[in-house]
Amino acid sequence: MVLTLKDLAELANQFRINTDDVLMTAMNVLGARSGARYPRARMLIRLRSRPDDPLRLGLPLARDHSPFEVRGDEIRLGDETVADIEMCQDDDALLGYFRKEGRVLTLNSNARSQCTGCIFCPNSLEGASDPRLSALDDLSMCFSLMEAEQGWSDMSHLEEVNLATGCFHEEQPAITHLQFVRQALSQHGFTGQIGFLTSVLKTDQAMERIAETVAPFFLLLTFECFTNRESILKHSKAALQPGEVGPILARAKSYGLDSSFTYIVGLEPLEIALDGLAKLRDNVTRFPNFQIYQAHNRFMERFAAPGADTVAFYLDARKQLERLFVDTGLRPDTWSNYRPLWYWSFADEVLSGERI
Amino acid sequence: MSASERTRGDSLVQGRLRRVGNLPAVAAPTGILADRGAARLRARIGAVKFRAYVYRLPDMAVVVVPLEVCAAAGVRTGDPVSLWIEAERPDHPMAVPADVSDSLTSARADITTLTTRERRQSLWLIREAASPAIRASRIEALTAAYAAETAEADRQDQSS
Repeated sequence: MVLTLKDLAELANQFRINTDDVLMTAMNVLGARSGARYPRARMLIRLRSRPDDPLRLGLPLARDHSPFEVRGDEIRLGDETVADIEMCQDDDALLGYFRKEGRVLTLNSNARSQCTGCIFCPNSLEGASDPRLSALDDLSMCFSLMEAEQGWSDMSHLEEVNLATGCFHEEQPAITHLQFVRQALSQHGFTGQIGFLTSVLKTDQAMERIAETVAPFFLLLTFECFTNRESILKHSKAALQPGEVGPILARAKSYGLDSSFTYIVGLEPLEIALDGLAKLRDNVTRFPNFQIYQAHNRFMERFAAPGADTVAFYLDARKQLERLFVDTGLRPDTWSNYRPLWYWSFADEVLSGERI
Repeated sequence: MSASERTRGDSLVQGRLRRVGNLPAVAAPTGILADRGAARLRARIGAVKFRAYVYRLPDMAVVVVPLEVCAAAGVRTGDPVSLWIEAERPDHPMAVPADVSDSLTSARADITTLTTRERRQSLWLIREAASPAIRASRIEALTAAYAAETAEADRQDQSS
């Protein structure tokens, strides 16, 4: 595929989006060619056009037809260097990592590397570097490691700990795990919000117990798509029906919990999802986690929506989602999503804040 | 088995058992992590075998030694430790099931050039399909994906 900075500038002009957002969207959609030994990298980069803003991203590296190329410490588009790479690691499943300048911890407390079965998820492509944790003592040990790594005496200054773990399949084990995590974190001085990516927390009883024993809490429902769910998602996630999502989010909200959902842009034509997304809009307390569908190989490409191999598909989706959410006052975080549709602007507004 | 006995694939890390935060650990060369932030290892102190975790700190890597291993091996903070470590064995390339193999063969689709991880990903997703119909649709997708790739490679061969 041939794509130049001039093409990106034309797309930016056509969609009235700043060029750097279009560049980052293109990079996330198309991935890069590289000589890397692994199919996906966790990167810290700086665009040449925004040298003051470091960015984290997870980039597919085995896209032989991509116009982007990772060469040494640079990301190139044709003959142009568009970004400098400050860190590049195999994107293996780790115990955890920090965001928001070290104030938010994403914790893999239940063997995420063992969680497979959703077509869009790069997990099964990644190496596994996460320890298997099973009990409270192990978690406490892991927090000690992180404190040592960061040179902290405890975790009291963290604002959020978000759990991105392997699937629990059922509600009860998920709640038990959350209670373990809260207890272990309390021993390390943490009193902030626990967030949880899940599709299995649904009932009133679950929300009530979480409100009593885990809160402050943020439910991020891993919804992903409206259609073709049985084909695309693992069975336990496909069991969550689109009609259930709104009531579950509302239920969480009614117990004083934060609530939102994940949605993968590119698995289905957005037009067929817009009505459904509009119904969810009033039940979220945080901007939904809209992620670009990254096809890492030809097999994954087969599950993309028609046209979702183009940058324009995602820019169009962005504009439609902006229209849907602009009046809610909710805005995407600048630090929480590795493959977002928004980087430096949302509609006509500048997005500012921590980026790594 | 004594601490000095080496088995195939082992390498030796020697150092004192130290506290990292409140964890017992032995410092290790950062080179054992290559470009990873952390990794699992098979480890042994004397005859005590365990699954260890090696983690990158700002100035070094450390192999965490669980408390129960310290107790079983009779080592305490400050003691010299000879730690034999071995990388986790690489992922085994999954065998191609008969229905997948038949489909690939009939379409002249080739997945032998895929990396182990890519091949595992595809085969896992087929294996975890919740119904025969979904399995069939995933096999069809895999076949179509790599039939196209094989055809393209053939075209390039013919034109070169």
